[in-house]
Amino acid sequence: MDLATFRKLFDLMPVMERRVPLVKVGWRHLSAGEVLDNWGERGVREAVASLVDSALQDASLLSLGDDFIASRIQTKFRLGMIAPFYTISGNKVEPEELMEHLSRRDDIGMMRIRAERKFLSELIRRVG
Amino acid sequence: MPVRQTAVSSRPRSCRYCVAGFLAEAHVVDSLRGNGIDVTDVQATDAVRTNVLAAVQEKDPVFFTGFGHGNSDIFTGDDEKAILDLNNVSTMSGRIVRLLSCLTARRLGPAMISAGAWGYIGYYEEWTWIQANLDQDPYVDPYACSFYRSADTDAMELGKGRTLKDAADAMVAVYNEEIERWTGSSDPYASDEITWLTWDRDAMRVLGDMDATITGKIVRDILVEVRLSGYKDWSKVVEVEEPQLKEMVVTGLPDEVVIGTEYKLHVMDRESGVALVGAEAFVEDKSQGLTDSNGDVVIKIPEEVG
Repeated sequence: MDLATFRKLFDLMPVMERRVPLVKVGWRHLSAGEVLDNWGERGVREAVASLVDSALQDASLLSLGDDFIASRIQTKFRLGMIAPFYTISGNKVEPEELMEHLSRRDDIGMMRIRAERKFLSELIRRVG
Repeated sequence: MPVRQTAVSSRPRSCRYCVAGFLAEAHVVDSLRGNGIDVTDVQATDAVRTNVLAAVQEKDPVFFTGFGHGNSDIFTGDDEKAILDLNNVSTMSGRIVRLLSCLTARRLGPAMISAGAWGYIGYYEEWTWIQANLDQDPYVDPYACSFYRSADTDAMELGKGRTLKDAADAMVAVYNEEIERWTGSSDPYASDEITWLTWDRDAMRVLGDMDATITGKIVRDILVEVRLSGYKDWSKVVEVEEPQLKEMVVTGLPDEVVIGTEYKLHVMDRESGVALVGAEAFVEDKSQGLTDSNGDVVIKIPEEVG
């Protein structure tokens, strides 16, 4: 992925999404905004390329570990990006409850992790 | 044969978080009626098993549409008790069934198709939505409108005469439009909107006859051509009405069978109840023989299935 294409992905992201960890480079978790700031680094570009390749090969993005995905969701919670949601099996899940489900990796926690993978994949596929 | 241009809708209100679906399904009912469909709207506290199944029996609709809590093998009503389960899937035989409900694509939908339903649209995962105010019509809620507009598209398109496949494709298109609408947004919940819309879209399943419709006569186009060397080809597209097929009822086969065991099936004409002679039974495409003069045929479940 070149810089112009990454900018398209950046533009597609909801504004606050650009502050959420997108890739892991060594010990660092970089958001899309930080990726742009550090585009000159080869490791950053390689991490983005790897993420994009993964999404194009497997829409479920299974290559991304649960812990990394969970850390994205926890960041979204801290930023106030997690909405309460309802399911028609009769659940209402408040953001604070979701964090508990996420810690336990129970059905709802794992569902949210799968949904987060789909979200990332959807954005990347819309650019790719 | 179910009555075309006719539908039964089930829309409970009292079950947990059902007000949104109750109000949204009203838009489905209105849209269907606007397209000339005769809809029996079984709603609120009336939307329970007895009443819904009575309406289905009385109206014999080609289309059943419902909102309600669900699980892999159950679709429920206002009292959160089953309206449809694995024991009564045959009530949907010959119909297109559309369930805005969780998880029914796992077992209930396939079971309905196995029991003779014409088509099915439902969800393989928990259908999930976001709503700012749960008591208001989700069509005017800034977050919920994206979910309900998308999910109700299938029923509305069927009402316009679209095929099952076209209705499902239209629904996916609306999901995609709604996802697009939230990209680049500065709303704090925009990412969650995209997340759950993508989730719901990908969880949708369509089963059965993709050409199934609920309106008008069943017609399809065919191309007739005449060719002769030295002349331009002549062609005309004409509509062909599908023959009206009668329905059979088959008894004697439980939902779960034992390998190596024989089962005697009894085959009857649905309308008259007369035993049908010469009907051929198959297991995994392998012929098991023809029904005898009593309408019976014995089948054996093979050691290797699939």
